[in-house]
Amino acid sequence: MRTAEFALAFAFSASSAGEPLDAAPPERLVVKASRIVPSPGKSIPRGVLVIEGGKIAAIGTDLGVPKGARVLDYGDAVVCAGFVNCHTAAGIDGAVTDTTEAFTPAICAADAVERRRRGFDRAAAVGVTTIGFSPDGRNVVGGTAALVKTGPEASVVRREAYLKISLSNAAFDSERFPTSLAGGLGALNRAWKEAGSDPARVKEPGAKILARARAAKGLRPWIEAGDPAVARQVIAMAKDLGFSPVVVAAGDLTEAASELAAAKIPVVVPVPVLDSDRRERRAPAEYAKAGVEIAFCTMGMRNEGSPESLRLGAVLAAATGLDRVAAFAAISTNPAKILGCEAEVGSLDVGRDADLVVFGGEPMNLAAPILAVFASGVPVGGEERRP
Amino acid sequence: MFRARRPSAPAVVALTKIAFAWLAVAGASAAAPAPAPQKPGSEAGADDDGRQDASRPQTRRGGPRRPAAPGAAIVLENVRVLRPGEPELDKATIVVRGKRILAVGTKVAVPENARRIDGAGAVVTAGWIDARGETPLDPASADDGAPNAEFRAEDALDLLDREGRMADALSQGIAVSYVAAGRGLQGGTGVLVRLKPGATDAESLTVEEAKALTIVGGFARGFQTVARLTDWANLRRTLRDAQKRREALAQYEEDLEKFLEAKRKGAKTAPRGASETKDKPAETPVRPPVPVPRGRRPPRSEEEREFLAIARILGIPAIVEGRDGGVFLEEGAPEDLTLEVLEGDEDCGCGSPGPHSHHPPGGIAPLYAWQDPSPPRPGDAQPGEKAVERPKRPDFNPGLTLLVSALRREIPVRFEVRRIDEIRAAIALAKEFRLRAVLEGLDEGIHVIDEIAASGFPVVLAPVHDPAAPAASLTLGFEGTASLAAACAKRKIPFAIGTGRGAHTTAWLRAQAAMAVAAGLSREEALAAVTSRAAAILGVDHELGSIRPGAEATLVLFDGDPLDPTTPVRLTLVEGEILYQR
Repeated sequence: MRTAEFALAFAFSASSAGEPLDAAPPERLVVKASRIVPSPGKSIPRGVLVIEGGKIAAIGTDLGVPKGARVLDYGDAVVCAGFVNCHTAAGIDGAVTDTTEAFTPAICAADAVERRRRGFDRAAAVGVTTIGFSPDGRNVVGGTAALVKTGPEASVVRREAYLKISLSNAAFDSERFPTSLAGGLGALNRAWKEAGSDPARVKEPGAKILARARAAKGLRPWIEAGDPAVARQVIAMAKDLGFSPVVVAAGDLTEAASELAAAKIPVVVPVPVLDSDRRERRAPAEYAKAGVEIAFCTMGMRNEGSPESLRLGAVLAAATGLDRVAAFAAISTNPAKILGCEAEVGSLDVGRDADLVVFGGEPMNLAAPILAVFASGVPVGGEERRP
Repeated sequence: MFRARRPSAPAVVALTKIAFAWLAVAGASAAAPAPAPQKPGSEAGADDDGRQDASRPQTRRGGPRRPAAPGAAIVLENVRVLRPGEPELDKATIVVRGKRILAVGTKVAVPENARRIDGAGAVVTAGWIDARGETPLDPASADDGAPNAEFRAEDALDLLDREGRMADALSQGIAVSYVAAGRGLQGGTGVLVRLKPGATDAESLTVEEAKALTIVGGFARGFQTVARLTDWANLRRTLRDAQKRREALAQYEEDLEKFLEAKRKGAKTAPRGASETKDKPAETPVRPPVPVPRGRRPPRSEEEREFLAIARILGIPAIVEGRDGGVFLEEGAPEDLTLEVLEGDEDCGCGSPGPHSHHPPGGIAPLYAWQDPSPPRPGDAQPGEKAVERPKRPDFNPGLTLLVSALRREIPVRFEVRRIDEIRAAIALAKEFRLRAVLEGLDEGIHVIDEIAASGFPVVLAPVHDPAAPAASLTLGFEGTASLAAACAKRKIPFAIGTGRGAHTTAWLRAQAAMAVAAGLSREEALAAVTSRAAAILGVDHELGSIRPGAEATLVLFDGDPLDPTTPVRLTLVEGEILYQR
């Protein structure tokens, strides 16, 4: 019955699919489910969600249905917020990073986002509705990452979400300066110094980006580190320069976990994959135990092009010691917070984007199928995706 | 002197088992600081019949084995029992004694002095089976990709669990894993292994019935169309050779029977070897008599001592040298087998040109050979007398031995096939040669699912995690497995799930089963694919994969839903031993 109802709803919406979104009349959509999980660990029984203009207009138990609204009743399903992959380079054909030189602060990943790329489409279809689209770790200063809403209408929400910096081995190349960690650190410190901390006084675009990142406001530096010693270098750098970075774990940094926690530096961790050994799989649990705020990402993984690896990896971490709620938070509220967009995505509340994933069970249970995905109120995936 | 059919298969088994028992003992004495007193007279702690001394403590990773009082039962009480195809039991009791399940039910008497484990809130399933994984293969022992029918996965196991992968699997409820190590077109024999870290006795580790010949297609063999075609053409030719050999062996056995019959009736027989020398084609040089005389000399090296020990247990008068680890016995080996030494550059007579696995370049390889001719025996014809000739045994060919067993349907053949063309080729070959085929991998299987269903062959869904495979296959493989599982169930194709080639750990099996459920597979079918159905496809359903009296006590206690990978495992029992407890 549910399927028939839904198919009918889509037959209706499909006719208007070709028209621009803003031309369509503001549509009221009501999603009902046996439970809504507004954020990890929270639960609204007999949940009703009212969507207006792509945003959540109301959320609660047994709410009344506004007049003229289309109602999608998912029965005993569970609804949660769309997932956030805060650090990835997947979704487009080709790469963001230009590796001919190691310092490319003026590269803007947003420029590489091409609409209607299948990668973004696929991400949306499996519930990843927001991504931090970023240069990878092969340049010391790779450029700025963009905040992108996925789906067929992939759009850049914020052009400059963070500045990607890398001190992992991937950034050091024997063919190009710098060839070593020491060289990279020296060059990075020089670049910080030259840029200064007042963006208004800098003209050169690259230096301006660095100055803005240093100025603690606006652009947060995300620094990739491959081992604990480098993580400690980042902690020291943050203290010296007075900014608050995010550390991207390109290796096992658990040894420095408590120091990172003390410095209140969040860590972005690639999700465990199938060829991760036990130690790698336990790392997320170790960070969490030390009190580090963690968010999962898929950057640099061999299967990065496969967007479902985000939830799969989070579940696998939960199967190896990480608390289930913490694993859920690491692909929803935490990355949204670290990206600075927690008021829009990562959880469900009035005024936030209507990014929803409808599961036939608990969101963190892999046996639960994805019944539907909505990105800003538009159905984009699941079993009953738009034709 | 000869048994009528596959005369020495038991001998091979015996050798394997004894080699393992011996290794077990060697391992134990190396690891244990203070070994228990040995039985006087028994060499290296093994009895003369090769059985391991049961009273000997075994060492294992993470401390000594929990010693179970002899005869003491383990009782799991208050548990929910999930058995695919059978009614679910609630608040049930399972009694385990020794290696077996003694009783299952809701009204089961608890024996006295039993170790009682309260399983309130827990769900029990049979120990999970990874129908094609990599644990506990030692990556360093994986072979090099040459067509290598002799490669045995059981020789490539990391028995001591140095990387903790067995412990990892046990913590996820996976108790048994089928592994195949070869990467060549003929990937050798795969073996089903009970995951018992540190246990080195072959008998309790490997399950003989599940042994299968592996034919490797797919990504492991590269992507070139021509290369793949050549591979399959070669395989077909090899199968035809094996067919001929099978016929020749059957003829030989028949002739031998006649010969022995004639001998029993008092006919004069020609001395052994006479016909061979006469019949040999001129271009085949006769190997000169082995310089080492029969009999014994003191071993010169540690390796020799090792081989001598095994040979003694086997009761073979052996003189073996060399540093390579293999001893090769062929089906039909005479009981008076004598092992022989070959120098590195000598032709070993197996037919393969150039250096090969059992014949490494520059080294001295221990090798089988019959010592012929035998001295004249009473009843042999004297020169000049008319004699019944002993039939000539077909030349030994280790490369075909396994294929002959496969053609006799004694062992199944697992075809690792991933592309559409390979799947079709495997089905065609299996039909042509009437093989007991199992199709494995099947990344593109969804496109030929009806052909697979029509073939009637069971399948093992196992993705590839190979560096050479296209990126994204890591999860796409899992996803593919999941939807393929649902498709197989719909068409009633018997299937099992494996974590696949190159998976670092079998622990992901639960994720795979769960994703299959999300893709539409019923929960019962998903559980069957990793327990009862997997056991049936592997030919071990009389032992594993079910919970019933008499079956092996290989069980898992989950804290809740077994098909949710985040549900912790409370307890894993393998052959009645608690090997994981949270």
